Amino acid sequence: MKKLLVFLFAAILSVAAAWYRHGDSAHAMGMVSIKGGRALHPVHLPSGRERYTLVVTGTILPPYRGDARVTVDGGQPIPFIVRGSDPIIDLALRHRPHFEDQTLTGLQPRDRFTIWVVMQPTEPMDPGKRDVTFIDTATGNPVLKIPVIFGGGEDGHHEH
Amino acid sequence: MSTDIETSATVSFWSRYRTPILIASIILFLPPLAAVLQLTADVNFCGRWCPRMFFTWREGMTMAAFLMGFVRAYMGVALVVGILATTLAFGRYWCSHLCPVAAPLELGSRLIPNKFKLDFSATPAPSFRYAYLAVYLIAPAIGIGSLCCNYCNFAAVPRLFAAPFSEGDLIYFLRFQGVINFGLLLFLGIFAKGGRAYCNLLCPVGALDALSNRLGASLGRRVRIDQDACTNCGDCSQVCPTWAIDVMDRTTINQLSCMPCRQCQDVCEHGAIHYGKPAA
Repeated sequence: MKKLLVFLFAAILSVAAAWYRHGDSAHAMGMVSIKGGRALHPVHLPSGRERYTLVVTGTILPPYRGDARVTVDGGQPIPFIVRGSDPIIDLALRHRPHFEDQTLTGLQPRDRFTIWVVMQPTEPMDPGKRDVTFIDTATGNPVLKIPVIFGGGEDGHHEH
Repeated sequence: MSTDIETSATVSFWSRYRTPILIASIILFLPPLAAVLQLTADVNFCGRWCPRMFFTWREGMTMAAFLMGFVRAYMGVALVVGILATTLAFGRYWCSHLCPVAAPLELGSRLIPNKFKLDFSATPAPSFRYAYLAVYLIAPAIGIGSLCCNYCNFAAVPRLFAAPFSEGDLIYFLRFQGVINFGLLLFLGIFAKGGRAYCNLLCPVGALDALSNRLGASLGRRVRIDQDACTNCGDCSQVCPTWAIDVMDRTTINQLSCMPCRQCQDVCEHGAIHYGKPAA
């Protein structure tokens, strides 16, 4: 009986944990390409928060090579910072892109990257769409746009 | 009794050097060095090394996308297959000796005075664990949500080690999800008696590994009790970090929770616990 109750309790707790979204962060996935790239899905976040964290993971599609600057654009400007995920002690065993000064450098086909975009609105956010945009520094062309849709309520959505 | 046993008188390398092996695993897999992960140009378990996501089916997913998950996380797939295969034959050595995610929790727990530790041993771990695993697998498939990345020990522990050096990793914890993950590591890890409550209740890789351990128990090497020598004193159950030993009319080991840490073997004064194949 105790085992059954624990099973049911754990199941209910786990369903609640899987269902509930805190709304201050989300994960976006995309593919960088010379043709403008592709986000796997848009990101939905509730408006009204003081801080949002967006984890962006991506892959570089051939034949793109270069450096890509990361920015947040569209609609009401939002102060933001971008941070990379470089090795702390880089053993330089394999090629990997680096992140410096808001720019992913040394991108090559099939590279993968992770960046953290932290947006901190100074005033209440208007609902609407923004983009986390990766811009090729050599040509000025976008190589990936990830739509970030700020909704009117607590409807933050986090997909994987 | 089979002669293929190892009693406390012949403690093996794996038993004698478990703590140094756990420390080596931390050094090799976790930041700041993460040398093993850097072999594939990675810095943590997210991506190629992810051992948790590839076997989850998400609502609306195509078979091609599901299979691409195996390709994307090929090192994670290799890791999980390797873990399950070796467990069938030898028991859960990954969990007990090699897991870099569990190692800091257990070692950290050893540094905490016992009076501050939480004892979860009254919880029937398999019931909780497999309810969690069921939701872990079913919830994304029917579109309720996902436990996969949101509550991920393989994401949180490496970032805990990287956070003092890297703002990108520190950011992981500066959000509600990060705070909850940090809390779970403390509550179910470092402040848990034995340091293994997280492993025992919430790790999906550990849950699959425990199934493999149970399935292979009748053929493979496991920690076992010689009922003729056992006095039912219960000393072994007191030190078991996964509360896998039941002391009732007779003392038994639940292979759905046991890992070959051999702490029970170390404390058994009667030589009643050994690691080996089942008696012929």
